[in-house]
Amino acid sequence: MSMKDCYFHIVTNGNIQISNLPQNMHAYADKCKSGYSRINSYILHKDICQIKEINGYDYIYICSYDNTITRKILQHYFDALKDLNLIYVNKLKDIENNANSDLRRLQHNVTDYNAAIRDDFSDLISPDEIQQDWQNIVSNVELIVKNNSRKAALTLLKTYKNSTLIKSELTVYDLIKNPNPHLELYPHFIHKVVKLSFQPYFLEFLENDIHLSWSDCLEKVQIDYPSISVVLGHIWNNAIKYAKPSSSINIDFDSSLNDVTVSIKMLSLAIEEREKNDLFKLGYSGYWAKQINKEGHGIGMYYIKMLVEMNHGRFSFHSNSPRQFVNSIPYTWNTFKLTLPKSK
Amino acid sequence: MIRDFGFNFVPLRYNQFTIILHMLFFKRKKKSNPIPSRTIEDLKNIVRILFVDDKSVPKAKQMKEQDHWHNVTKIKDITSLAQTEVKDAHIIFIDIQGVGKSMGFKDEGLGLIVALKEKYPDKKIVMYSAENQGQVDAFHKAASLVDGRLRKGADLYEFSSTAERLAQEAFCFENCVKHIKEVLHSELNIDKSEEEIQKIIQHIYDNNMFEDESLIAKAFNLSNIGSLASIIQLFFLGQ
Repeated sequence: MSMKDCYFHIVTNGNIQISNLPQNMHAYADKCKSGYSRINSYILHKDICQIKEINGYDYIYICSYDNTITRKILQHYFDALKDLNLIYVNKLKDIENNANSDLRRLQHNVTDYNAAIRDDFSDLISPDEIQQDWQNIVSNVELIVKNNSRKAALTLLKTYKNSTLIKSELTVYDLIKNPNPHLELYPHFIHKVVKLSFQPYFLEFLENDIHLSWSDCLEKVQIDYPSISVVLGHIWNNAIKYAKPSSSINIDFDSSLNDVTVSIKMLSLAIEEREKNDLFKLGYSGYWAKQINKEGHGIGMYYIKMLVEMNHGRFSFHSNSPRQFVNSIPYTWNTFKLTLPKSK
Repeated sequence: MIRDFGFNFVPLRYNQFTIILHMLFFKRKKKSNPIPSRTIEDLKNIVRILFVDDKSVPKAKQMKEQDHWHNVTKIKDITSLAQTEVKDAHIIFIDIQGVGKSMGFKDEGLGLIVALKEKYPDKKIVMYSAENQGQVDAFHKAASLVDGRLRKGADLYEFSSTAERLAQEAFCFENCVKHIKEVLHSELNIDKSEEEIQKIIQHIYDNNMFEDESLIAKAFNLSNIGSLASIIQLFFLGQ
């Protein structure tokens, strides 16, 4: 018997999940009782043998109009179909869960950053205050800004950072949702790209008294600017969280025949030898980050590696210096190396 | 210095006397200077950028005021492919949502892009949108026709660096030659190879003939040169 002579029909929650049964035979499947039966079909003018297993509103149905088929053989087909359906259903659930978890993460993070923007705003300008005299809203806000000019400046800078983070979330979502993500690979001065990516984080480096030193570089790299900006943004975000306050970060550029390597060296939380392999795994947060309650969602390093590889680059991490302890928290000199292809 | 002589002559002794002798007796081959490529500053003066967006575009203003692109215009929609702003533009940034309606494209900006590229294959077109990039990719021909793609929230740097890249492409020597070849064919019914045209332009450049229209005509061996002069002058002089 070829599979051509065999039809299957799987219904879940009253909806057809997967089926190759001709439309005019659907009624047979619906009416069929549980177990094995042989009936004469007036549509096909043939005998058909069928097996059905019902489970609440779900059922699995298989039938054949091949006369030579025995009940035992049809049962084998049915069992195989049942096993395959189980795998299929689980796979579907996985896909759905993954899609939902990406979307949930996006919603969660965008909501967080947006809330931060709104909190900063209402902290500077109380909504009650402006509501009472909405006709003079502009001059009243002007007055508030004038009287709190420093706070207003900080609010603006924080808004800039938070909106950059939102942009970065959307870019990542866009890239990971597509099986063939669109990248605009064009030449960019690497020095300029690194400096631009840095801007939104200036304030927090300043607040943490972290000093930055740069070397020069006139090389161009062939990259997709939005995704590499996200990569650098994640690095700066990690640096703010995990670098020792009042320390310095050195950014160096090394050019070889085909690549440029950006080395970012900082005195930051120690990464244990045993966790080095897990560092780039989705959902992994560093041991010491957890100890000081500064762990993220464990996605930063995962996305860094994924996006860098999409750009035909490499990302690596090196650490081999003695530990320094601050309040019994170990810090070491860690170097993160981002290698990108030179533009031809 | 020895290389500049007309043929492969290897003197027995390189003393000053033999070098002077060579210079006296052998005609020095005239060396062509490579045609310089335009600087970004030049391009910012020459290139005309058009934004087509039904909403306000602060980026257009910022490109002008902060990044010094001198000719940036913005229109709400395109009503005719022949309208002046479109004809004049070298680079067109198009928001794929909310435009293309005036000309009745049912797929809005994407339809407009296809029509523009058909009429003006040489104009550089950048599409930007708030939509998922992959979504656009999978469903429309326009995605493969455009010269650049940006997300709506892109930085000023992304807009400006895209404009720089496309301006350099539009005003490179190869494009100038290609353009002249087309004009010779369509306006004057003359067919010349790209190599021939390259030689003529090099000659015009080496002899500083590009400022005078009649000298350009002479170099091409023509009496009526049509719009050819303006293409060459735009290339060398930026006007």
